[in-house]
Amino acid sequence: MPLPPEAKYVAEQSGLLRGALYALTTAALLATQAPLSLLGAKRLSAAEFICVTELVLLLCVPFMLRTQRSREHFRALISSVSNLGKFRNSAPDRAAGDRAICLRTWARPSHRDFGSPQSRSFLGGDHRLPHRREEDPHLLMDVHAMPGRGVCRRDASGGKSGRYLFPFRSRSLIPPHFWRQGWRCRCPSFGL
Amino acid sequence: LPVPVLWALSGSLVGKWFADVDESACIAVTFITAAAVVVPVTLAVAYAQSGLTIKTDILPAIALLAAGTILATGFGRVLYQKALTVTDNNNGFVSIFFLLIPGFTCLLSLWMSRWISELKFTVGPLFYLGLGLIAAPILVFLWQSKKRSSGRTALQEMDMKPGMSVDPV
Repeated sequence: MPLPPEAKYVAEQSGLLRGALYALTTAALLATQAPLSLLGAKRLSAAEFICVTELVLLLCVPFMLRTQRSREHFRALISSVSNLGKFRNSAPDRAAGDRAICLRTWARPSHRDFGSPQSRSFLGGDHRLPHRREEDPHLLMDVHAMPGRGVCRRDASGGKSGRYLFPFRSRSLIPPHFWRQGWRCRCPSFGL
Repeated sequence: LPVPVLWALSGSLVGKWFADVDESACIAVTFITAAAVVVPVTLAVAYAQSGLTIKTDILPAIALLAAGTILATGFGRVLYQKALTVTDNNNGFVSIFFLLIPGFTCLLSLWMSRWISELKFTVGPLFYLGLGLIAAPILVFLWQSKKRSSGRTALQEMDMKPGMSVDPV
């Protein structure tokens, strides 16, 4: 249920006030850096200075991960760092799975990515879909796609389950005709 | 110039891409990934330049540097991200407060110059000119927000005024 305008205004003002307090504290903290680092900057070389700074920041990491929530998110983020340079999602994580795109759509066998040599080798075989009309209910499938990772999974109702290259690298790039029945809230286990 | 620009860009991008993720976790990951690249490179460069000989007389300087880094880059970065989160990634609003950093730095330097002579600075016309340049945008910001809030209050009063006459149709 949408908030009434007055409540929205109050919430916005409260957010701004908290933001202002955080920003003021940040400004005070940032102001300490120049005077405290001056001696180090004068007596250390540029490489030593940067190295010491980075090592000190590494020491801060355990203190940043005091809460259970931050530790969980940290693990999810760190495990996804290794996927930065990869197209294939080899180590899916739960947090990322929760943010996966879940939609019901029709397969588009005519799409250039389906059945391409790359997808065939990736899929470990030829999973090319038979050519049918786009609206064919037999090809209706639930897609769980990881934005930016290019992998999707088909839980076909009455069809063969498999992996397919998902050609859209972000949610915003998915054309409107893919969104036939809107979003589905089911969170996938993503056991790829 | 690159420092505030890159700082604000980093805050905005982290706020946009990782809006659902805990701020501390996000910043911790950025520290680790940056350190994984930067530390080996800087260690190699420092070793090639001077053989990495750290003398005991620079240990106080390193301790101060560590304190400054923990306060500013460690806690400051996390708080900055929290400020962006609660203001819905409103970097303009948050950054306006950073104009106070030079003022805070001056006060801190003035106090610390009793022990560290290098922190002494001359308070002259140029210093006041700089402070004025910093204060001007803050005053404009204050004036604009005051004007906007008074305009809004007047509008609300008009809306809620009971028994307003309505022209017959």
